[in-house]
Amino acid sequence: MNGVNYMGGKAVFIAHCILNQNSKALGFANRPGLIEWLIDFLKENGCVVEQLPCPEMLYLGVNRWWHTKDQYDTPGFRRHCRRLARRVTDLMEYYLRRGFSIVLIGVDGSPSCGVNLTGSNPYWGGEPNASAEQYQIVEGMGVWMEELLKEIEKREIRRFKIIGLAMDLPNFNLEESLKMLEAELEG
Amino acid sequence: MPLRDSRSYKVVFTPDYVINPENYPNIPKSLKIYEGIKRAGYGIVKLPVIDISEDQISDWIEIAADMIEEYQKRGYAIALIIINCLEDGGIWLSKLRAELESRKLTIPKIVEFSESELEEDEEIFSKTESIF
Repeated sequence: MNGVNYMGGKAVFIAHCILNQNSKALGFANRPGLIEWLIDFLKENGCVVEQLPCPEMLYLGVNRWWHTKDQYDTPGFRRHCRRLARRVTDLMEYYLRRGFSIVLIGVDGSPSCGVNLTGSNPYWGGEPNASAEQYQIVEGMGVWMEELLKEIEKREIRRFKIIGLAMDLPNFNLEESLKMLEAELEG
Repeated sequence: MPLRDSRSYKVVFTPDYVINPENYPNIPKSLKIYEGIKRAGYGIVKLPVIDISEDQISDWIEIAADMIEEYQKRGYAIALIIINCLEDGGIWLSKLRAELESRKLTIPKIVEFSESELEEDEEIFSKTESIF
């Protein structure tokens, strides 16, 4: 059996859709398969890349309606996220034991994977006739990231950093994001 | 917010090796399968690094099987990529197959790469492009 080469470095845990755009809510896949520039950047910088599970797709399927954080903020969805978070943090500990530090990359604006920004509209619900303009981008973290961070804190995971990339938002700037990522990965 | 959807409706389930070949010291450190998938425009569901504990494996198998079941139900094209020099293809294939069979699901197309193929650019690109 081929085992892991315990060489240290950074293990970067990325939101599921960064490697699999086919998991997005319909209407929001920017690329056919994956976000090439980000995976290429991480590999060129010597990072190991682990993919988070997508709690939205696993909970509501690939044909789900758009949701805001308000709608995902339920005990059932949070319980589902906590169960996934336990498996992800087990995997983080695997890398920590081998000398890696951990970086978590979420997708800003997402109701579940947002780090600095998420989506809100307390009035969404009922007949599915909402428009994208009603999806308000607000400061805050998505439900999945909140539950994952709680588990990370509970396990007292150190050597850890979290980054949000606003790649789905209209004002996304690739050049600035690459500079920010470079600085964060160096630190 | 702009509305667009560019998804390919094609997803490959891959071993960790495809994205993290540096985790496997005894086989070529090649990202060529990843490059081929990228060129072909498929989404990737990457299974975790292979030497995690048994109890963790069963949960990741369940997650992968849930996704396969959902994608099959919605008509997405699905394939499993395996590396024949990694234990159980690098994706715990026997366990994943058993889980899919227990759910009476169709076993997705299995695309196997041998160690000697891992550094053959054209062979890998043509094999990945013709998966679906």
